[in-house]
Formats: sequence, C-alpha cells, structure tokens
Amino acid sequence: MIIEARNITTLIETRRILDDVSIASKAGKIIGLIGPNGAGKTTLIRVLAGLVKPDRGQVLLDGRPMDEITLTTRARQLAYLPQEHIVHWPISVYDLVAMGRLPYRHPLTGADRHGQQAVQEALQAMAIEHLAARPANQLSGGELSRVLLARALAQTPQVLLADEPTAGLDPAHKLQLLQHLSRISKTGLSVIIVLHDLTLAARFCDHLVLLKQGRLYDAGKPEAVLTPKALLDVYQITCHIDKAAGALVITPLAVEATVS
Amino acid sequence: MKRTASLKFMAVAAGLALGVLVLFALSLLTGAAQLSPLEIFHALTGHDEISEAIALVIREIRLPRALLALLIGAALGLSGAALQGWLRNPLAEPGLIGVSGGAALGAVIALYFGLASHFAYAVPVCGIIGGFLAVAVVYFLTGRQGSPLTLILAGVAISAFSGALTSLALNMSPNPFAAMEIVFWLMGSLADRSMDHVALAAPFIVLGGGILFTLGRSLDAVTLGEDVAASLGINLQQTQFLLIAGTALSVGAATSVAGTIGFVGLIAPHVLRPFTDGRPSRLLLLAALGGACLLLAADIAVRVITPTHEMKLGVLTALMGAPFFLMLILKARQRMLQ
Repeated sequence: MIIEARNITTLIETRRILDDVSIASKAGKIIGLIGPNGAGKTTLIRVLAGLVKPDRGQVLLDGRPMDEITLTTRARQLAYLPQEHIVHWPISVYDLVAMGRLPYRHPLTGADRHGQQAVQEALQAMAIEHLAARPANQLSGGELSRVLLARALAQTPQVLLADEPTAGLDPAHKLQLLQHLSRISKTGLSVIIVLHDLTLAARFCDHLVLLKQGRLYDAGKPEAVLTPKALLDVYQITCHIDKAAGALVITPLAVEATVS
Repeated sequence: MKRTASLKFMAVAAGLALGVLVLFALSLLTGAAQLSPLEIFHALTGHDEISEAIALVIREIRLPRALLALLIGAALGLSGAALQGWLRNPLAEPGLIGVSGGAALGAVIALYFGLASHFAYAVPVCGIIGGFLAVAVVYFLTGRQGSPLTLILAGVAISAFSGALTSLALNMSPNPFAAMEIVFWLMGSLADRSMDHVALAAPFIVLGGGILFTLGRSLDAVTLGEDVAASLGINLQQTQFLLIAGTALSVGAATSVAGTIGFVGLIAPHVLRPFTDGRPSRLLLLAALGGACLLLAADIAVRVITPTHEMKLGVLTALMGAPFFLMLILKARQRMLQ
C-alpha cells in the first residue's frame, strides 16, 4: 500500500507553508524527508497523516482520497509517530503499546481477536519486552522512543509516518532505532520519515525528498540528492561528502550565508 | 503483569461498590428519628406493620436524600475524571467548563424573582436551564475545532461572568431574607429534597453519565497527545462535544438540585488514579463510585456532626477539599523541583 500527496499547498493566512509539493511512499522502502528548519517537513507529514487539511491538492491512500476513508479504517492502515514524546499519565509500557490496537477494538465490548499477538510482536520487534510492566513516563529517552514506535507497529499499519523519531537520542540509540525501522520496512511497510541528520538519512533511506521553503527542491536516491550544490542552495552550508560502509557521510564545514 | 493490574482495578471497583451500598444504608439510618434497620427495610418494601409516619420519613425524606447523594456524587466524580483525562490535568474539575456557575446563576435567578412561590420546582428547573445555557455559550466560544486550552479559557470566562451576575443578584436582593436564601442555597445541601427532585435530576444525570462512560477509548488515546489520538481514529471534535454535553447534563442537573458542591469532582479522581495504571478509561468507573461514596459520607457527616443546625454539605466538602487541593499543589511543586 502506498500513500501519495499530490500538489499540496497549505497556507497560514497568506504565507505558504507548503507550495505545490508532491510525494509518494513505496512499499518496503524508507522515504526520507529532509530540509532545513521551517522547510515544511512536519507540516507535510501531518498533511499525509490527515491531521492538517491542505488548502490545495489531495492525499491518496492506496489510490483513494483520504477524505473518503473513515477514521478507523485510516487508523488501521496508517500509523503516525509525532516528534514530541508525550505520555501524560503513568501508563504501563504494555498498555501504551496496546493503544495501537484502539482502531481494532470493538467499540462496545473492546474485543480484538489479534490484539494480544500484535502487541507481543511489537514488543518483540523493538526488543522492549522487559519493559512491559514499567510506567512509560519513567523511561529514558531511548527506551521511550522504542516504546512509541512499538505502539505504532501494534497498529499493524501498511504505512508508517514518523516525524524525527531520532530527535534527542544519542548516536547509539539513533542507530538502533533506524536499524529497527529498516528491518521492519523490509517486511513491506511503507515508511516516510523526517530526519535532520543527513548522514543517517543517506544511510537508511532508499529515497530522499529535499524541501526548501515549502517547495520541493529535489527528490531521488541519496547520492543524487545530497550534492554539494544542493546542500549549499538549501542549507547554505559547504560540506565535505565522503563514503563509508557504502553510504554517504556528510560533514558540514562552514555556513556560507546568514541563516535566517 | 496485565492480569495483576486488572485484578487490582476490579478489587478496588468492587470495594467501592460495597462502600456505596454500606454508606447508602447508613444514610437511610441517619436522622433525627432513631429507626432500626428492620423498620427501614419494612418502610422501603411497603410492609403493613410499619406506621405511616415512619414510612413517610424514610420514603419522602431519607430515601431521596440518599439517592441524590449517590447520583450527584457519582456525577461529580465521573465528570471530574472525564475532564481531567481530556484536559490531561489532575487539577481540572467539572466547574471548569462553566456548568456549575451557570446552574447556580439559573437557580439564583429563580430565587431572586421568587419564582419558587409560583412553581415548586422553579429553582432546579432554572438551574438546569442556566447550566445548559452557560455550557452552550462555552461551546460556542470554544468553536468546533477548539483546543482544550480554549475550552478552559471560555469556561473560566463564563464562570466568572455567572459569578458576577450571582453577586449582582445578592447585591440587589430586595431584603436580607432573600439574600440569605440565595446564600444558603449556594452553599449546597441535600436537606429537604423530595422524590420529585430525584425524578427531575436523575434522567439528566443518568443520560449525561452514560455519555461520559462512552468516552473511555478517546480519553485513553489523548494520553499520547491529540495528534496521536487523531491518528488512532479518535474524532477529537466529537469527543469534546460529547464531553461537554455529558458534563452539562449530569453536573447541570446535580448543581440545580443540590447547589454548588465543590471538590468532589477533583478529589475522587485524584485519589483513585493510582489504581488505574494511568488509564483514564478505568478511572471513569472508579471516580463515579468514589464520588458517590464521598458525597454519601459527607451528607451523613453533616447530619451527625451538627444535628441541630445542619452544616451545609458544600461547606463540609470545601472544608475537606481545600486542604487537599493545597496538598496537590505542594506535591506538584515538589515534582517540578526534582
């Protein structure tokens, strides 16, 4: 299943946050959404998740316009992981992951035939079974990010949208989370992920979409998108681009113009 | 692990349900006339051996009082739990969305204009209308897509305005007795309520409570923030509407027959939250039972502590609740400093 945004324009008053942007996911692939702060990445991913209604353009889920799909059906096909890690009450990790089953539960009886199995598989996939009984608001950042991803996986979605899931994590946890994600995507899941770390984006994403001031600057394989010229144009930085372990390594060297 | 959590929840729910039954029976036993449990049982079952006077005391004075304490306590506890879950704030209480202030104002208007002398139930009826109107204005101000923050702001504004108009009624009251009547009513009480009061309030409380009980899934989902809840298929606008409607119906009716009874909707959810494993859906049932226990106990206490000149129920709940509120603030401050 794929999700596709066609010619999306969103406005805040008269300011264009996104300007005629199109993007599509691919089953079994990770699409990385990159660009500087304020480029419109979060807005685009929220448009794809159906949380923001675009002023122009449309979002299609498996070829059907998003507006025509019921909230429950959408929630069974599409999982969204926001940037903020919010857990308001001391809910247990097990119960938190089980929230991913809400779209499957019978509205009155709460019955969900595959619920327990799906939760168990999500806990296993993220290697967090040992945390199941812990209150989620007492976890470390690295643990919580895995728990929240497990919640999205318990939804057994076909499309996963993640907004900077590695934000605030140390290098080891960043790598670990992206390795988990990479492995899961191989099972046929379509993933669109916002990333700030260009080296990690180059290494883990099959395809990159580069945004600049709300417009699509370039899209394609990491090697084709992450060029010195593009990085200078979009980020206003000069970079040293190298290769290690078969992937690009991007080292920013200097800021070339005043970054607003 | 999951089973232990469920067992703990069910044990607490069963304990509270038993508490409600015991306190309900004690409430029927409490009063000026010393009556035995057997007499009360006979009066309730319409046994022939019981005198007319005793039957009247039980059925027309004590039973409505106990029923109202149960219903109103449950309404306050339940709506407090639902609001705390929705606003993700342990300091939220039903009065926050303006319903108590509006209901109090409606009742005060009925008292001020002496409508009760024309129509016996003018006070509760006007209270219900006042509560609904206030909440309708809050809903209109919040807007269909309003966030919980706008809901709080609109609720605070309407509560303040209702409070100002209530003060105006007191200020302009034609004589000290009229002012006294208003002040006493505002303090909240279940004394001298009849089965007609029960018949008037119960349908609204049951309907409102029923609506609030359907919101468990949505309240659980917003634990992870509104965006995640929406992505889990929760209709946030509908949830907010149902929350406001359920609270307006149950708390509006409760306030209109009993006056303002504070803190029950704050304390009951807060005390019982540790037994829910942080799941707002589980808190709904516990807080309803806990609220009923609290109000039944408080209503027994006002009759026992000051039998000759009965202390107002709202005064007692405030006396117990205010220190509790302070404790909450201190605990929150401690957490922030850690």
